Amino acid sequence: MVVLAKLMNSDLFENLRLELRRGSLIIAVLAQLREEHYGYALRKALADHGMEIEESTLYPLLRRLESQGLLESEWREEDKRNKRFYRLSKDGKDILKQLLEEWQSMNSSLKRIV
Amino acid sequence: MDLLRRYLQAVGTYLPKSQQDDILKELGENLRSQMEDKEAELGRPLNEDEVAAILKKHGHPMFVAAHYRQTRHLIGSTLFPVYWFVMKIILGIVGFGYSVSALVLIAQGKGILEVLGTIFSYAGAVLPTFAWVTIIFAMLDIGNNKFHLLEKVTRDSNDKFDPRTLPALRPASDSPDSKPIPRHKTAVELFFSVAFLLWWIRVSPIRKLALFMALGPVGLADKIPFQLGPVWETVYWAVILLTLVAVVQQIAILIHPDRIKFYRAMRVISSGGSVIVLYLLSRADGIFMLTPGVADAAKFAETLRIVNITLHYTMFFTAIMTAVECFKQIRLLFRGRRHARIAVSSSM
Repeated sequence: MVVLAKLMNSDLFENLRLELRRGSLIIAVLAQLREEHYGYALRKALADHGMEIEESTLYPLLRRLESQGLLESEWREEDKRNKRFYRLSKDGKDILKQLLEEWQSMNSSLKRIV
Repeated sequence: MDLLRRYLQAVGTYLPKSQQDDILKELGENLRSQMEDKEAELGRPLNEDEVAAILKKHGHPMFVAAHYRQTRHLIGSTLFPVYWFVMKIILGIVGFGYSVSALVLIAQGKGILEVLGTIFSYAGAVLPTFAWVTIIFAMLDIGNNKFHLLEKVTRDSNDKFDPRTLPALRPASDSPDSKPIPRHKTAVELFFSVAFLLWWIRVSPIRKLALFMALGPVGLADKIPFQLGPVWETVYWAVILLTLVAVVQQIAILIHPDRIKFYRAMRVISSGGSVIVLYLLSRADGIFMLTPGVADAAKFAETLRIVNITLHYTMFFTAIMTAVECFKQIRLLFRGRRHARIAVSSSM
């Protein structure tokens, strides 16, 4: 019974942790794309800053953000291979600015609460 | 890199056709970059196991492709409450239709198999009903995702919403310690009460039913040595009256499921009446008797005696249990009144 309770708590924590990370990941990705990156390099750059993200999450996210007009992409040759490079669009820059303000405001409120 | 190409091919089978090439090209490049990094780390080309490990960590092709699909649900959270509400209404209407058909068959004196066939046909109708309602709402959801139809409706509804036009408060349950009676429970009880009533008022089927319940399939034979005793004529109208009381109670509770006091009062009347009917049956000289003129009466006399004794005791103990239920309902009824008086005096 105790083992089951611990298992349920661990699942619950994992679900809540994923929800917590979801929004933060978008800000991290947009912020990192103030400089141009292709998919794998972006993942490495985020991981170097302590933001681990699975490829199966990141690559579709990039396409979604592009379809929403926040990113621009182009295929370019690098090291004799074609790679798709992403960077922030003009709308993406505006949205990122607003998201960062929102995030800082939430952070301040949270600090006062906890 | 054969394994990588096979992996990309597998992912591609689950991707939308219009985006397949673009996604696979990008995914392939990212995976190759990852493998090159690993090779640089090891200082040698990767073997098949190492490539397999990278692809395994990336994920099953089906689930990888699923992340690229935008819509992940058949019916989204905005529409789902409406969908579920409509589903319950439609299944209820379909169920009502089948119930009426079954009741009509009973009133016409049709056989039990035909009646049960109609009732069980409802189960066969549930699946197509469920499927059609789900398909329609799934199409509405697709339309909403593509054309944002619901957003305009939601926005307009929010703009026009005025809390002052909300319905008046429903009266609280008249018994503080009870919840409203679930409507589906009452609906099922009402169906069986009406079915029983229609059955009971047709004399020959009920005689057959009584004989069937007492004697099994033998009771349905054309020439059997037993017949119902005169006590059945005595209780015939009493049973009709009690069933009518139950039907009235169930209809009232269906409309106002929070009228717990009324429900309990009616239960007291119907269970009290049932105790009387069961007591009369248990005290009767013969619930069943030999059919006059039956050949070899002595052979059947002992069987009849055993059947009657068994039924006498069954009726007697059922009367006791029904009396207990009646007292329980009376107690709950008076407890509810006492709580109401306490609530009134404490508010003064």
